[in-house]
Amino acid sequence: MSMAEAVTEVQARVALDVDACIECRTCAAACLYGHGDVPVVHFARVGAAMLPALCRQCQDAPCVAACPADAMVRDPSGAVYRATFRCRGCESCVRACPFGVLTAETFAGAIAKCDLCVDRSADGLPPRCVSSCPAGALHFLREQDADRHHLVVLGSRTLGQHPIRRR
Amino acid sequence: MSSDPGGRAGTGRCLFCNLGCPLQLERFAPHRWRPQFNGTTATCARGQMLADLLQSPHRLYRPRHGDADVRLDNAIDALARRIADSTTARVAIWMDGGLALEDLVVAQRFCATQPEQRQLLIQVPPGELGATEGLDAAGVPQTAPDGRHNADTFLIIGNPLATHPAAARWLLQREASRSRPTAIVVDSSAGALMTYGAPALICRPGGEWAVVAALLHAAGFTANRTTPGLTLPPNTPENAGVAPAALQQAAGRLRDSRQPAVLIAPQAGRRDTWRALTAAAASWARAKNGWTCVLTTHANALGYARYARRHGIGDWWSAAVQGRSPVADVLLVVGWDPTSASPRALWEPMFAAARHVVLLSAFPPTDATAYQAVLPVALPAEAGGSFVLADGRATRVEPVLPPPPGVPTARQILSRLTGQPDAADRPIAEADLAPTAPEVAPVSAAAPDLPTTGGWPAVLIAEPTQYADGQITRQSRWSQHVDRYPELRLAPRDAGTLGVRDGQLVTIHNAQGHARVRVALASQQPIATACYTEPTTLSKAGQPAGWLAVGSAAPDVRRLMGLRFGQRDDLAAAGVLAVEIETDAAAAHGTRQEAGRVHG
Repeated sequence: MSMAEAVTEVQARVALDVDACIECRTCAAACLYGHGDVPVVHFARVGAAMLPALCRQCQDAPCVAACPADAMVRDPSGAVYRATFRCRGCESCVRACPFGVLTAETFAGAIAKCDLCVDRSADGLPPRCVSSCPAGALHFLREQDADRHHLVVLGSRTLGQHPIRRR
Repeated sequence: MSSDPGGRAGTGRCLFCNLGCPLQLERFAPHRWRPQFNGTTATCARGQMLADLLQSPHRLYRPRHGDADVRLDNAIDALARRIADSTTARVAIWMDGGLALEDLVVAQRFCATQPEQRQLLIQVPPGELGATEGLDAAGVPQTAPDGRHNADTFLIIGNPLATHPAAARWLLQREASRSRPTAIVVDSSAGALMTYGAPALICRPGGEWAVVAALLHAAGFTANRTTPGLTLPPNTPENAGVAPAALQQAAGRLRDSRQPAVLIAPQAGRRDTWRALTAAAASWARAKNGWTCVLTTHANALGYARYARRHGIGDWWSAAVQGRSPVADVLLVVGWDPTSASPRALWEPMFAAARHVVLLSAFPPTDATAYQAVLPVALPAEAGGSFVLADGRATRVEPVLPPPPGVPTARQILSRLTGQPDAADRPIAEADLAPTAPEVAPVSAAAPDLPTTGGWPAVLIAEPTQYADGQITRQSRWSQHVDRYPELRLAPRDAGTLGVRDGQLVTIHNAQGHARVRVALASQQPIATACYTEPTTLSKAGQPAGWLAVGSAAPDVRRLMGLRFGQRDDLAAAGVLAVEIETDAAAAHGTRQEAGRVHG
């Protein structure tokens, strides 16, 4: 069994503190420039707020199961990334994503997918969206560490200071 | 030079606003740089565009004369001859307030030798100019926002989280701290900042001064309604769209404050009202042993304002509004593009009065036909120099990267044109930047009336992530990605009032014409304003008479923005652009949607 198969869940995820987000879209800009002008972080309207739509790195990732080309791959760290040369841009993963994070737009024929900035993780650095956030609204952490930040886990991957309302 | 041209890293500061955030770039391809985030340097989206813009293929690399490329040396020599040929040559220079002080000094020394023949104007948005003047008029030093950590009350005027997102780094950290200072927010947007307001006073555009004046009066700072610099008509808070109860609650907190901090982000409005507002708020903070910080979108607004006052240099907006067009043989526009940043009605007469109009810019202008020649220059981040940033002190900023080969800095060109070969290297005299107290004339705190045309009073404003009115930042990949599809951005509250849904195609009308646009809701959008976004448009808000819209690449939208300018009073009346919004369904039936006024 390979290491990639052994790991079924990513160790740490990018989580959003909805109370702290100021909707400045800095994370999206950092992502675009960090991934060769391929936009991976999008902003979605949630009620009156505009919040970043971030890949949840699902434990049982529907995008992996749906991809007919095996282009969605879980790497040794547990993160799901898109293998560029396998992706045919068929958009199966887009339809499978339960959170609407993946978009149908293709870049060089491939779907844009968060890889947790794998080029930085080797140096022990968090993803660019987390490092660039001026408001400290994005965290790169394990779910069980949310308590340490005095945050409530909402909807599995979103954090806040109150379980049912935004501030 | 802080960067290593042959290496992989460049460090410096982002100069897209006066926060001057530290910036670190990494090279990831032979001619490509991107921001590096190491945990200590982080900039907003505007700062991240900088790396892209430094290497942008859209940059100007060769001078243009008409439709032809020309050699830089030839262009400069020809222009220098035109300036020097006759001692009677009249020259006007317009300098952008985001450039280094050294650039301004070169131009000032040139113009000072023959003041009758040469005129120098600075371009700083009126709201920012007024706020910096108000700060000095109050005799209050500018304090860096992160310089003090002991404030118990923040009075935040404007929306610094929209115009200066990096300010969130310390503002929200303070908010999250154990002492948790009170934040009183006065602004016309209902965005994320408002969630921190206790209370948040959402006023209508142009009503900030009315609210602050009423606040200080209710807090007991201004004991009567005719304090110099402050006249307070009755019903002021109601006129500004703020509930009296909320205002009284906020005033109580101001009264109880022991050490306040005033944070002002003047995005839009008249110069005189922002001057009066800042003077009053800063005086209150000083009386309470607090501090004041003015955040400007032009990095050197404070330095330029002080230097200009010291040397009697005028500002472009005032000259344009008052119709004081300089009659010049040569007009040099340095670092900004009036054809992008201001209404045609303002710049066209001034251009027409000049025989030869030359632009010094890093990017092509919006309307290239307006200039006889365009010369490439380095961006401020490539040129470095002296800047008076948010801490209020003149700081020598090193270039983050060297300019592209063959592209000079603005002061190098100005030095050659004006025959001052060593002027660019002269240090700035401290006395030139010492604050002088401008007079603060009494300004009525009555909130401006919105037009009663029967339509929805929309005010078209700029996207806060744009710099230099979009002329520079719209060239970046990020800007082109987020603004690919022109849309009319509305506050959700206004959309609810109008019955307009997100993504709906609507027609906007005014007396000049109509345009079809798609609506996008954004909570950051100030109430009663609309932001028309596209990669090639938008003026920064902050025009002399309040809120004026300007250029657009789309002809139908440009027509809507075709405001007329005459006397100053007319400008005040035209400060708000009334736009009726017509939905598709209403258009199909040939009737306009009933669109009541958002306020009042």
